[in-house]
Amino acid sequence: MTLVVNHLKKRFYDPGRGEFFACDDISFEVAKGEIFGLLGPNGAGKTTTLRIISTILKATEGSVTVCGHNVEKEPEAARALIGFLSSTSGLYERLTVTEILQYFGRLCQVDEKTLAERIKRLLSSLQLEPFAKARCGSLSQGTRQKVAIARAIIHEPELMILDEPANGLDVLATQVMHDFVRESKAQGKSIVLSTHIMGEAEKLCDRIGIINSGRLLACGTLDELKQQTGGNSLEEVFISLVQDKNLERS
Amino acid sequence: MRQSFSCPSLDAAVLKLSIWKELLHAFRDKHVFIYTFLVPVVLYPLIVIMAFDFISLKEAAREKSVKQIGLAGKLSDYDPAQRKAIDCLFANKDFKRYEPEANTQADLDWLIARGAISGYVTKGKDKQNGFGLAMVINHDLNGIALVAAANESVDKWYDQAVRAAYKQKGLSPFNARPFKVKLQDSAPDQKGIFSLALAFFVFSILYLSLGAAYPAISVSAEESEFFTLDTIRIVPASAWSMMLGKWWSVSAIAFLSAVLNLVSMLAVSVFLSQQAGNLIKGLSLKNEFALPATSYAWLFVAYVALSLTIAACMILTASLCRSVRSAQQWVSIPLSLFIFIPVLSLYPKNILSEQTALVPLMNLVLMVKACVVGEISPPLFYTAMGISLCLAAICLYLAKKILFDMETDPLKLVSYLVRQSKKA
Repeated sequence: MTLVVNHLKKRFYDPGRGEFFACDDISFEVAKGEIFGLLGPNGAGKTTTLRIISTILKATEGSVTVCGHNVEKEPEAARALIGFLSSTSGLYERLTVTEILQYFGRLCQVDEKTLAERIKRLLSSLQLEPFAKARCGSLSQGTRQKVAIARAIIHEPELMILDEPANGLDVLATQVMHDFVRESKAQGKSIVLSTHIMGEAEKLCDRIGIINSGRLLACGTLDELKQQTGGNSLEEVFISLVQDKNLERS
Repeated sequence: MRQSFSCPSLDAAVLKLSIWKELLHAFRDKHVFIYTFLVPVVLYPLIVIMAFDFISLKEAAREKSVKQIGLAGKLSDYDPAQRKAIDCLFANKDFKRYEPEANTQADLDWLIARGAISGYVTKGKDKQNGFGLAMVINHDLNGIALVAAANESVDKWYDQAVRAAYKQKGLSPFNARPFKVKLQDSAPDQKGIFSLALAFFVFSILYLSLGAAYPAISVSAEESEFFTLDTIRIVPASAWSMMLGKWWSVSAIAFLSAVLNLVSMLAVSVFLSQQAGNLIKGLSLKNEFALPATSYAWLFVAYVALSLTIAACMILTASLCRSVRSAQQWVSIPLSLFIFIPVLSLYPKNILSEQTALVPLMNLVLMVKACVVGEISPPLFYTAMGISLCLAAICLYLAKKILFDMETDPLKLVSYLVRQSKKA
């Protein structure tokens, strides 16, 4: 397994809400070459889960291993295997596209010759060549997202973590994003994709985990989820699971 | 699968890379450009010009008051030419001769220190230029202005004769100055109460602080606001190396800012002195900055230490904020402090001592002051630098914790701790 998430819990404090669990006993696995979708409404705990996997946050309880490396005990080794992409592109406004790719490639210890080749290939495949010397602050949202993709995969990670990557993108840019996900899968990369767009999850994911209020409500292929809930579409499956949970609570 | 590797806590390649990125990113920031390059080159020279205008006005007012001038020895001890020059001096109603006659130099020195007289006339060793007369004055702007006025008063009477004599000797007639200035300090324990060099150095420290502010925001709060912090937190590189890269870049920009400011002020002063003959009547820019090489070496060290300490404090403050706007407001707090400290150091009694060497930041400013007045004391300097760099290390450690390890908004954490303490 590329990724194993085991009984993950994360407690936060918010002045308004007091202490609460953003992740509450979440467990799932992702195999090599698999696209795993994490589907849930806003505030369900998707981003927190992905941030723990990508070593930005530390779990309160539970464990995460990436290709056998525990993210808490061997964060550097795990980081070398992870590529993280979020809806907020996280680009340096005053660096050019090439400078950003060079910076992250060198930080990830990619040797200069390989880095130059990869930058050339990524600029070409993501149609970024005309923007190679443009500063990121001057780019459109779609182009910025392409640069963010290139930045996230410059070190050719085994596991791609995509946190609502199509947020704020137009149809064409979304298509580029989807093509990138499919290509990564074809190359044998494992992908964890968080989204609240049903169509996107249905179209791309091999297996889907439905998350709400920090808890993983169900996990499986689309057919398994349909069978489990009796829904005809992912939307019906999702509504059925979330409503059941809300009824249980009330 | 990529091979796993161990990541050392400090990595020279990552450090170098981080410095490259931070400098590139900071220098392309319009705020950094304005506050680091544009303002010191344009705005501050204007302030310097205005300051000198103000000083000149004050000096003009001072010239109008009657000055008590002593005479070393008896008038009959001087040769006829010298006596004539002394008569010329006291013919000017602005100068009054201090009685009694036949004061010894030691008496007159003491009278200067007491403020009873403004200066005294004595015989100079060099008779080549002028009349071989010297005027001993206090080492301050008031004293220097006094000699200039005295020279002028003699020039006025002997104008044509003196200028003709100078011309005859092949010298510029405008260099004719009957009195050779001898500087002395009335209070040796308060050496260098005020000098132009000290003012320039202290002023450039203010600028060093301002120069560090925007780069510090750029490497911390801006990273949070644009979510670039997340991207560097998940790369397999040493966080300490990246943090040091940020620190050194901000320090380098702050240092550059101070140096640029100093160069700019000097350039304006040179221009002014060329325009006016002297910067302020009788005040020689060359003399003011004629410090020994060791002073300059220590000044360099003090500026580097100041840059490192101020940069670390600024980075810590800015790292508490999650947006550039909020950081701009928060950074104004340490900035006010860093502006206040150099001004405080100008107070004559504030000197680098065993006690003040223990006050971080203030000790480095006083170290600059000590270098300018020539009081080099390596043990005190080492203490000052050690204490201030300890503060820098603490700030840097906290900033690294906030930027790379902390999971929540630090200001929210503070509010949480306050609530918890209230509950307790």
